[in-house]
Amino acid sequence: MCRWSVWIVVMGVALGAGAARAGKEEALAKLDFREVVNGAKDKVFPAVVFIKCISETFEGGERIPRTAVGSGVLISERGEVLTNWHVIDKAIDVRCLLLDGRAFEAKVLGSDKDTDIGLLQLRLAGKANVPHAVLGESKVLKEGDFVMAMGAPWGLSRSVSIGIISCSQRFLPNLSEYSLWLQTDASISPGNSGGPLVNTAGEVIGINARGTMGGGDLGFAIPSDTIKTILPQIRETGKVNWSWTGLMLQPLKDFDRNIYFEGTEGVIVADTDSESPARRAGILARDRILRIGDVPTNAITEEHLPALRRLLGLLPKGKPVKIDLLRDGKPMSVELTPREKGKVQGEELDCPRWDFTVKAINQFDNPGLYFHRKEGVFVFGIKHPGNASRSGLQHQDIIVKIDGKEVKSPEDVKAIHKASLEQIDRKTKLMFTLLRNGLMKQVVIDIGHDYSKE
Amino acid sequence: MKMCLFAALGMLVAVGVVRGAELSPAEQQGMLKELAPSAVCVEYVLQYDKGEEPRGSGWSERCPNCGRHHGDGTSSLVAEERPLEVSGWLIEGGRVLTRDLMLHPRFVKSISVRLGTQRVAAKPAAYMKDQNAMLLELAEPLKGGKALAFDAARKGPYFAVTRANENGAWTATVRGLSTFISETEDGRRFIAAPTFSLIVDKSGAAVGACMNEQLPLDDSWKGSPARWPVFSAEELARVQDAIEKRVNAGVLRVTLGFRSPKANAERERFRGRDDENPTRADVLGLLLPDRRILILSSLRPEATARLERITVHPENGPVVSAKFLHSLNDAGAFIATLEKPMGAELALATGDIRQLTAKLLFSAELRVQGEKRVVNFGHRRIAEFKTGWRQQIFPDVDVVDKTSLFLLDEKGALVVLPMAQRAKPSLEDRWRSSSYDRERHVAAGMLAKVLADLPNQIDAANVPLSEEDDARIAWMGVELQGLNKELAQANNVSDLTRDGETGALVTYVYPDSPAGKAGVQAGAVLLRLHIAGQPAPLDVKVQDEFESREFPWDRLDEVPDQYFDRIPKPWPPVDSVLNKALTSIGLGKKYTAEFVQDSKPLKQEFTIIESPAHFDSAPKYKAESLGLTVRELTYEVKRYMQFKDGDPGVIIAKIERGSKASTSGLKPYELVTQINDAPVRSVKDFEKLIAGQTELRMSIKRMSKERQVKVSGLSK
Repeated sequence: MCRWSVWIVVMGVALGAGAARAGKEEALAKLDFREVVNGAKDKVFPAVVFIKCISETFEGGERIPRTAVGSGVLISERGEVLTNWHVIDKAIDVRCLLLDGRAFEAKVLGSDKDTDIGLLQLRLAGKANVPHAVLGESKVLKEGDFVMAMGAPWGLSRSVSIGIISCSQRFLPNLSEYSLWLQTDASISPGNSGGPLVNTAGEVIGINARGTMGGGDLGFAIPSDTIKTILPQIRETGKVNWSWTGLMLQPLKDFDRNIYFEGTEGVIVADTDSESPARRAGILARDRILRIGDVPTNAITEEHLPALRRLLGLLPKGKPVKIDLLRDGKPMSVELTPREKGKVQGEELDCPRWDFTVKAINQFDNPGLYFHRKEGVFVFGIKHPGNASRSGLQHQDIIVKIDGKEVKSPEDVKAIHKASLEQIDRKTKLMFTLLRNGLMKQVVIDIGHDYSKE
Repeated sequence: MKMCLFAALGMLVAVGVVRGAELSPAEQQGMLKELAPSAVCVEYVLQYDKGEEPRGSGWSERCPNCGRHHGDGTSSLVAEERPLEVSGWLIEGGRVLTRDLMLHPRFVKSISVRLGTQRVAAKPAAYMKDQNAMLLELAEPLKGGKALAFDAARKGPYFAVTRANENGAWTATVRGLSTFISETEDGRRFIAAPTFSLIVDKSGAAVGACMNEQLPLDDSWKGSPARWPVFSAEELARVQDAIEKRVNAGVLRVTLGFRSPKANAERERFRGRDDENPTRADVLGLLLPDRRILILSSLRPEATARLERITVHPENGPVVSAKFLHSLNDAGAFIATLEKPMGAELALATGDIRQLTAKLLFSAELRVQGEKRVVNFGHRRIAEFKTGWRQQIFPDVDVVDKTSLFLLDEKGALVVLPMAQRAKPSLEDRWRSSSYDRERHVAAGMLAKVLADLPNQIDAANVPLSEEDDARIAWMGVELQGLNKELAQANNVSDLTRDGETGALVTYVYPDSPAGKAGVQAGAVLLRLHIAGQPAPLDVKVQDEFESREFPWDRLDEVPDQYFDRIPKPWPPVDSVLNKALTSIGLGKKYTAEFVQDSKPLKQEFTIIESPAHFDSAPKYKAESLGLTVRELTYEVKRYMQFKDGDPGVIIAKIERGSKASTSGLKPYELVTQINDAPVRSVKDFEKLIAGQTELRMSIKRMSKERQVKVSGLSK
C-alpha cells in the first residue's frame, strides 16, 4: 500500500500540482489502491464481453468470410454492447460470451466508422438479466488519472491492465474527424479492441480502439462523451447521420508548419468542396469563421478542430444556420444549409470468375478517385491467381465501360457480370475501358479460366 | 567443322570423276613426288602483346559447304603451345613463298620453316604488292630442299596442287582446273581456282601460283612469283614510317565535352548508373581540308544536343579547339571547324576500291585508350567486298574491332576508314539491334562523295543545343497505350498490327496539338508512321513504361524533404517513345501517320513541330527566401490536374531542404493559387507578388483541395 501512495504523491509533485490538488491526493493516499482497482474492476468485469463474428471482406478480390474477434462492454440491462466499428464491420454473424459463461447471438444495432463505434444488441431469451456498466464522464479526465483497460481477448477470461491518462485531448490526424482521443499507457492489445477504458470509480470513460504494434504504452480510446453524443442516433437509425457542409477548416496556429495567423479568434477556411453547401453559401477559402449560429468557433490549434467539425456535423439538416465570418478583415454573415453527408464508404461487390471485387467511388473514402470520376466504381480487390490479375487489371482502376456499356454503380457491374456468366459458353472476353491515373486505358479480360475449379 | 570437311571430301571426289580421266593416279603420285622436296610448312609461334591476343588473317580455309572461313583461333594456338602452320613452297633464290598472314610483328615470337623433320629459322624478306603472298628468307638452306623452277611456257592442261593439314597430317591434293570461266561486268575474266595453290602442268613442273581464288584468263599468272612486284622488308618499313607520320598528323585524338544532363529522378531510379550520358568522350578525328575535322563519333541527337566543347589533340604541341559544324545524315560522324589550322589532312583515295583486291595496303589501328591515342601500324589486304547501303561497295575486312582500322595506300592516301552507319529513328524496343548504329568500314571514296555533296548530307536535327532548347521535344499530341493480342482483336485491328505486336491505342488527344487539330480522337489506333526519306515505315510500339498506380497524394505529407527529388512525376513523361522518335527525326520534317479511327483507315499528314512548353521546359522562378521553385502550368500538367483555363496557379517544382517552404509543409507538385489574396496566374505574377514581402499568405492546392499557408520572417 505504501509503495502506491508514495508513487502517487511523487507523481503529484512531479506534475507540479498546486496546493488545492494536494488535499485531494491526501484523501486518495488514504485509500488502499488495491481496493480501488478491485472495486472498479468488479463493477465492470461482469459487463465485459467477448465478441466473435463472421464478417465479409472484399479485399482479396472475392467475398471472403473471415472471423473477427474483439471485446465489448454491456451498457444497458437491455443487452446493448458497445464495441468498435472495426470489430463488427460487415459482420454477418455475431456472437457474444459473457463472463458468467452465457453465450448470446447479437445483432448489429448500428455503427459509425469515423468514431470507430459499434453498438450490438444481445438477443436475450425471455427475461434474461445481464450485468452492465455505466458510461462515465470523459471531459473531467486529466492527464495522470488512473485508468484500467479491460478486455476479453481469449473468450471466457477477462484481462485488465492499468495505466494513466497520458493525454486527454489527443488529436490524431486522419483518424476521426469529429473526436479527439484518450491516450493511455494502459496496455491495449489487439483482442482488447472494443473493450472499456475504466476510471477508478468503475465507470466506462472510453472504448479502446487502437494500440500500438510492438509497444504497449501507447493506446487510444474513444472518449465516453463522444459516444454519448452519437449513441442516440446510432440507437435510432443505426448510424450517425452526420451533416455535411463541405467546409474544410484549418487552425490559426500550426507550430509544426510554422504557420501563425494573427489573433486567437475564429477558424480559417482552408477550402470548400465543390458543389457543397458551404460553396453554395458563398463561403470562400481564406475566410475566417467566427461563429456558427451563436457558438463561437475558435480553433487556435488543430486539437480544437474535431469539436468544431462535430458541431457542424450535428447541425440540423436542411435548416439554414447563420455563419459569422471575416473576409479580408471585414465582418460579414452568410447562411449555410447543411445537408446529409450520406455514405462515407462505397458499396462493394464480388465478381466471381472475373476474379475481382469492385467498390463504388465515395467522395469521402476515395477522394483521389472521386477527382477523376464523381460517380462510378473502381477495382477494389484482385484475386491471385485470377482472370483479372492475369489480364493486368490493377487496384484502383476506375471502370468506365465494360464492352462499351457505361458503368456508374456496382449495380451496373452486377448486371453485366450476371449476363457475362450466362453466356460464358459463347463469349469469354470482356473489354474494360478504365481510367488509370486519370488516363484512359483498355484491358481485355478473358474469363475462360475457372480459377476455382477443383 | 567436321560436316564441312566431309562435304569438302565429297566435292573432291566429284572433281576427280570429271577430271581424273586426264591424269592417272600413278601420274598424280609421280607429280607429288616431284614436288615433295619443294613443299615446306611455315610455322609461326605467336605471342600476346599488351594483353591483346594475336591478330592476323588469311590462314583459315574457305569452307566449301558454308562458304565461310574456318581456322584455329590464335588464343587457342598460344594456349595449346603449338605454332600456326601454313604451307609454303621453296622457290628460286632460296626463299619460301607463302601466304601473307598480315600478322603484326609484335604478335610473332618466331618463324621457322619445316621440311620433313628439318626446321630452319626464317624471317620475312618481301611482301607481294598485288598478291596475297610474301617471301620468307631462311637462316640456312634446307638440306634436300629443291627450289621450284617456274616455266611460263609450259602447255596445259594445268593442275592445282594445294597442301593443308587435314586430320592431323599434311596432305597434298591435286585438282584439275575448271574449264569454266567467269567474267565480271568490268571485263575481268578468270577461272576459279583454290587459294594458294601451285599451278603445275601434267609433268608436275611449276607454271605459276594462285593466291586469290582466281586465275586471270590473260595468262598473267604464269611465271615465277619471284618476279612479282614486292616491297622488300626494308622498303615496307620505310613506307610504313612515312605513312605513320601522315597518320599521326592527320588522324587525331579529339575530346568531346558535354553539358551534364539534368537530374532525372525517374531515369536514376530505373538505371542507377548513368553510363548512357557521359560528359566526356575521347574519340578520333580525321583532318579535312579548309580547317575542318571529321569527328568519328556517332552521336545521337540527345547527346549532340549537350555537346559543348571539342578539343583536338595534335601529336605534339598545344591543343586546338574546334566548333561544331554539321552532323552527317547517314554516317556516324560530324564535322567541326578548327580554330586554327593544324597537321596535314590525308588525301582520300577516290578510285574504285574493288581494284585493290589483295593489294598490300598499309594499316593503322587507332584507338583511344584512356587519354592516349594508341596506334599499331602494319599492313592489310582486302580479300572481299560487299554491296551495302545504297549499292555502295564496302570492303570486307576481317577484324574484331571495327572502329579502329584505317587503311592507306602506298602513297599515303586514305583508302578505308571506320565509320558507323546511322540507324534510322525508330520506335522499336531499344534493345533491338536495328535501333543501333552499325559500325563498318567505309571506302574513303564514299566519304569524298559525301563531303563533295555536303549540303545534302547533313542532319539539321542533330546539333548542339542550348540547355533551354535541349528540353525541346516534338509532339503529335497524344497519349498512347501499347496494344497486345487481346486489345488488337477487341479493336478489330489484328490484321493491321501483326496481331497486336505493333500499334498503339490513342488514350488521350491534346486539344490544340497536331493530332487534335487533325481530328484524331481517343480510341483511335495509331498503326505506323511514314517518314519522308525513310524507306521503311516506323512501326509504333509502345511499352507501357508508365504503369504507375495512382500518385500517392494522400501520403505526400509523410515524405521527408530529402526525398522530394525522388518523387516521380504524377503524369506520364512527355518524352514518350513517340515524341522522342519524332524529335530525333527532326523538327520541320514531314510524316504521314496511319490510324484506324471508328473502324475506318485514316491517313494524316503531319509536320513535326515542337510541343508547347512542358514541365521541364516551362518558365520557372526560384524564390530564394522561400526555398521554392515554381513553374508555369504546362499542357500535360493541366490535363492531369483537370485544370480549367482561367483558374490561377503555378506548380511547385522544387523545394529546398530545410527551407521555409519545406517547413510550411509545401510539397512538390502542389499549386500556388493565391498570394496575399491576389491570384497567381503566372510565374511572373508569382515573382511580382512575393517581391519585397516579408510575410506571405499563400493558398496551396493539392489536386482538388486547397489549404492556407502563412510564411513570415522572410528576408527582403
